[in-house]
Order: sequence, then structure tokens, then C-alpha cells
Amino acid sequence: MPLSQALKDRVAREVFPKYATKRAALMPALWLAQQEQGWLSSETFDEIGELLDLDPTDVMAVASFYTMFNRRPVGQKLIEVCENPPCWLNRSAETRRRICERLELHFAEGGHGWETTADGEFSVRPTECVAACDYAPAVQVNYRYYGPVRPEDVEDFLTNMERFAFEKEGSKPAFGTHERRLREGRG
Amino acid sequence: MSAEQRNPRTPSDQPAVIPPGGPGTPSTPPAAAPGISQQQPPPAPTPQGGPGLPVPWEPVLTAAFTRPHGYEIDDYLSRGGYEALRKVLREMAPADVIKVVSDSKLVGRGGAGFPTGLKWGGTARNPKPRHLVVNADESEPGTFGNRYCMDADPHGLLEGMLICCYAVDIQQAYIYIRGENLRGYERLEYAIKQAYEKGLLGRDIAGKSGFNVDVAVTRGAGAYICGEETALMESLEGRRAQPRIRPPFPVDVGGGLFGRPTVVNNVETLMDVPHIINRGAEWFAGIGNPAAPGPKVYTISGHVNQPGVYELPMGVSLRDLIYKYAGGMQRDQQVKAVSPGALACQILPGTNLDIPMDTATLTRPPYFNKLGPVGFGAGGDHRLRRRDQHGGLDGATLRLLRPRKLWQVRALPRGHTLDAGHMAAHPGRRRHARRHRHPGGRGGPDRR
Repeated sequence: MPLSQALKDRVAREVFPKYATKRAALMPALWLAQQEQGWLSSETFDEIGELLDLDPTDVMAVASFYTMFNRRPVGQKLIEVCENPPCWLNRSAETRRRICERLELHFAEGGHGWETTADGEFSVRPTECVAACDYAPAVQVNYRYYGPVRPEDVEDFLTNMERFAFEKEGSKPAFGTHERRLREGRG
Repeated sequence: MSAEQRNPRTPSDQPAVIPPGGPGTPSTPPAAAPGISQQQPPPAPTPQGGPGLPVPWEPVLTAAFTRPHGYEIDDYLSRGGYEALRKVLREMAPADVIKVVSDSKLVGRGGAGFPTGLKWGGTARNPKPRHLVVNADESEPGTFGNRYCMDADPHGLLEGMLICCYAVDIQQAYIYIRGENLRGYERLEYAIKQAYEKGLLGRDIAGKSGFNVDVAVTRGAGAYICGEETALMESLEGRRAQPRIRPPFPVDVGGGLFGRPTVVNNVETLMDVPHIINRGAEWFAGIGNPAAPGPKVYTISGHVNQPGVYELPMGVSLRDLIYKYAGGMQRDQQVKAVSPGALACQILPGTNLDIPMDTATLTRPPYFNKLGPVGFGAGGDHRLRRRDQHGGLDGATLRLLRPRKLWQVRALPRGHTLDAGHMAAHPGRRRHARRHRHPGGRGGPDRR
């Protein structure tokens, strides 16, 4: 699927003037393309290369460096479980194992890849620190924060995700965890 | 739930900090529990000094945390926002601003602890055009203070940036924020839009003719190494984020963004600046450790009872941080190990908890060894506790050292000047990574 003309215009109008070189528009352009298409295909790299006067392989080389640029289709909800030490100490690996079990996905320790359910609804992968260590184990769903999702909360989390969201549209961020844990009788 | 249950400490132990939940934080739905009404007015930060705190101790950087709409420009203006900028534009020359910042002894809050005044002065001596890059790629495991600061007080950051731009004569500034922090990105874009509408960004800012600054936000896309300043600039320029060899340093021609002299500052460093202007360099220099003074946003996580964000004077002891502020260890366990500045640092044993947590201490012997600097991260801490199922502390430590993103870091040239932000600063960690390579884990997203 080719990129829309609106996107190309937007890059030219809004992104190029911000930077001294055309090349510096690459990261924003890749983000816009991913927002539009969900993932980045080889054709997308060709088009972006054309837009920014770059070689498509060059575009791909940059995109492949960054873990958030998806190079294959991803499920509707991308569930990422932080497995860095503060979360891991709070048993986040077990959380992800149980999520995978519940969604009947293969659980692999480590790695970067994700597994997608057959209906394309969920994808699950481990991630690096998402800077929400006070909500450990922290989970991001489509880059929105959820937590703490302890292993015993997984069932609840998958059926009623919004209960775990700690930042919502139109509301101020909630800070810290102990307050909330105590409030909800979970700590 | 009563207030006593929520905060079991006696009033004399009451820290003069915003507890991470913020007592006045309006409960996010569906969390409205009996006893915590949405209308509950936010209590003012406790004025008396807590243990080891100067009296009176008043948090400044986290003051907006209790305000539900602290991120709105009207709220920021109502609590004296952009006054420091107006004062600077009205009565100070750029060189005076740099002098005040130097006198305050403000050091970079990102971890390396480089004096901010020196960095600004060095850049101001180099030819124009110059750039300001804000390092908001907070990615060290255990650090999350910047995220909260940007969420709650994005205009505090913008004001600090504008003062820097005035002092160093910069017309284009960039904020590089990590891709995972989508909320922070939205907040910053919103704040920038508001600032343009109020004439606080763009041309002739705040009525000062000839003072023009544009601010752009760039999103990262998941690369731990972008927390390192040269890697960050590579990423901003649209390349793979591989650190550059220094010299030339970013402040010099050829070393910075687009080859131009560049100031790279951490979010918290810049947020300190308006307070320094408003309250004076002496106020700032008088807080905490005289070698690296000022208020500091400490983040603490791991096996503590109350992980969260605590604003304290630089140099608070580890013991106070854990037991007085973070509510002690979970289930009263003994502290086995502490990672004082997140993963780029050496792990400290739990035997000496009286060390002051500040840049001046942690970047010098005996906490500095030849393996690499014991950086301070962004003030992040986390505690390890013995976990028998993983073979005790050794297992936990090894697990801690297991880097999955090393394929991004490994591209470092050998003999490169290592920054506190480099995971590769730890040879043991690299060795370990080679031995425990995960199937499919090496090549990054290409080879999953």
C-alpha cells in the first residue's frame, strides 16, 4: 500500500522546515509512515527514500536499528512487558509468561520479537525499561502505560485492561504507586 | 482508608517531599475509593524539614505534581511561570545569565555531572549558528523522574530552554524524547503549541525584539544508546544511533548537531534554571552537598515499599532515601545491593548505606574505578534482594547484567571516551553478553 499524498505533503510542510538537513526528517517520516500503515514494508522504504533523497537501503538500515519500527505486521494491541531489573525484581518475566500462556502464544525468554495471536488482536513482546519503575511490573499497550501488572493480575488485566491504566486521555498523570496500591487494596 | 493507613509515618518523620502518589493527586478512574474524594484540595508540601533536610525545605521541581492541570500554560503562568524568562530578558545580558548559572554550581543532572555554566560558556564562545538539544531520552532502567517532570510541568522545561537559548544565543532548539514516552511527547507538543500562541516561542519572544527561538520535538524509536549525547545527535540527524568519537566535543564546531556547536542538557538540568534565576545562585548553591548542590529528583524502585519520585537536596544518604522516604525494604528484608545510577554504574554492596547520593561523590574514588565511571544515571536507584530461586544475589546480579540491547551498544568504537551513560563501560557485562547470547536476540529486529 503506497503512502498517502497527505503524508508526503505533511512531511514537506511540517517536518522539513524544522531541520537543517533533509535527512534529519527521516525519524519523523518513519513514524508518520508507521502510524499510517501499522508497519514498515520495503515499498515504504522506497517511498521514504524518494521523499528524502536517500537510498532505500539507507532508510532500511536506520529503521532496523530502532526496536519500535515494526518491520512486519503487528497485532491490534501490542503488549510490551518491561523486563529490566526494577520490573524483573517484581516478577515481570512471570507476568509475560502468563500473558503468553493465556493468549496461547509461544513464550521465549529474551529476544526482541513478538508473537501475534491468530485473530490478530494481540501481540506480546518483552521490552526494555519504559521509565515506569514505580509501577513495576510495568506494561505498555500501544505505548500507553499500564501497571502494576503482577503475575496474579494477568487474568484481570486481559479482561479489564483499563483498570490498570495509569494515564488516560484528558486526565493528569497519576504519580507513584504505593498510594494507588493501597487505595485499591492491592498492596 | 484512613490517612494514617496511607501514611504510617509519624508527623516528625514526615518527609518534605511530594510522595509519589501525591496526596492531592485526583484519583484516576476507577480508583475513587471511599475517603479519597476527587474534590480533596491538594495539601501544600510539608514546610518543615525532614531528616537531613534544610529547614524550611520546599520542593521546587516537583511542586507541579500536585496540580491537576500543571501542564497548562495558564496554570504555569498563575504560579509565576515565565517570570524568570522575563527577568532575564529585561535586566540581564547573556553573559550575566551564564555567570549566574556558573555561580549556582549547577551540574548536569543526566549523570556525568559536567558543570552547566561551563558548557554554556564554552558553546557561547563558538561561532553561530548554535543549537540546544534537550536529552529527554531517559532510558536507564530505574530512572523515571524526567518523565514525571515533563508530564506535570512541560512549561518549566520550555522556560529553562528559553533562558539557555538567550544566554547562548540559540535560535533552534530540539527536544529528543524517547519513543516509548508517548504521553510526554503529546504533552510537550501541546505545551509548545500553547507557548507559540502566547508569544513565548517564535519571533520576538515576550516582546524582546530580535529574540527568536523555535523548538521542535523529535521522537526516538526505541534505542537505549540514544541517552548518550553523541548517539542522540546521530539519531536526530536521521542516522543509526552510534556514538561519535570525541573530540570534537558537542560544544565545538564539527562535534555538535549538524556539525554546529551544541548544548546538550538533561531535562532536569534545564528545569533547575528558572528557579536559579528567580531565587538566586546563592539559594541553589546552599542546598545539599556544596560540591554539587541543588534540589534533585530522586527516583527509587525495586524492593522498596514506596517506589516513586522524591525531590531532596543533592547528597541525601542512601539510608535516608531507602528507610526514611521510600518506606524501607519490602517485608523488612536486608538490602543486598544497590545500583545507584542505574545500570551504567557499578553495583554497590548493601553494606555501606551511608554514602551520599550525589554526582560529586559517585564519580570519584572509591566509587570510580578503572572499569569505567560510576555514573549517577538520572538519579535512579533500585535495590536487589536475595532471590533464592535464582541462586541468590549472584543470579540476580547476572540477570541484571544481561543486556538485550547490547547489539545497539556494541557498535562503539574501541577506546572511545566512555560516558556514564554507556552500558559498554562495563567489560564484565560485555563478556557476559557474548556468553549468553539469546537465540534470535543478537541481530536486533532484523533477525527475530
